[in-house]
Amino acid sequence: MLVLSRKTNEKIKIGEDIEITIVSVSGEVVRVGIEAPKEVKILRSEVYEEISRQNQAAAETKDNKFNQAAISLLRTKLTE
Amino acid sequence: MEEKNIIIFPQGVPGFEKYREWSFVIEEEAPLAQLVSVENEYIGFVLTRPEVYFADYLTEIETEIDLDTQKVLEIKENTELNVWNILCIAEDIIETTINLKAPLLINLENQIGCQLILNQEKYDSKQLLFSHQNMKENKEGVTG
Repeated sequence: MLVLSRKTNEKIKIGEDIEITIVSVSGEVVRVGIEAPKEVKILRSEVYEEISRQNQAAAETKDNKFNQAAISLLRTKLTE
Repeated sequence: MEEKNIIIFPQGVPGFEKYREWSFVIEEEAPLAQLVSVENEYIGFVLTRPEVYFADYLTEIETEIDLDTQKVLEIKENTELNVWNILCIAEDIIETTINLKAPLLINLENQIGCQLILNQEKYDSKQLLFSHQNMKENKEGVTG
């Protein structure tokens, strides 16, 4: 991993189109500004991980709880 | 009556990146669908339409459909996107949650789908599905 030291308001350029600015540093919190083309998806990594975990929790129910009875109950509930 | 399609998720689904082909069955009677991996039938999701309980949801997420996602889904001007959200079904059905943070966008014209992760903080990946509606009902009446 490339590690760079930067001060507040200093920037890092990644390729042609992406620029990262260190907006402020306060204790443990670093505020980072990102300028990137619209098609570049920017996400906090933990959000992706959270969605992965949530998907796994939702899918796992197929083995134990995700059975026809549960779905049928849900179906009833949703059409009430 | 149901409608069945095979949907390709070119980027996979977070947590299940290697599964690209999913069978997608939409129910007619209830706002429900099932998305089951073609490669592994034990991996499946139960989905619901978000607008049933969250009226403004579709308009509010529209601005978050970024160019990359539009390209993946091959969205054209007249494309009608299908938006579905994954349910996490709880043993007590009333505790079932809906993942509003990461809707599934499906283009039925070309059978391509993706799971979009929203940037807005407003939506939770574990939103109780029946929280608004059930205030007036008692628990026994729902689960019994």
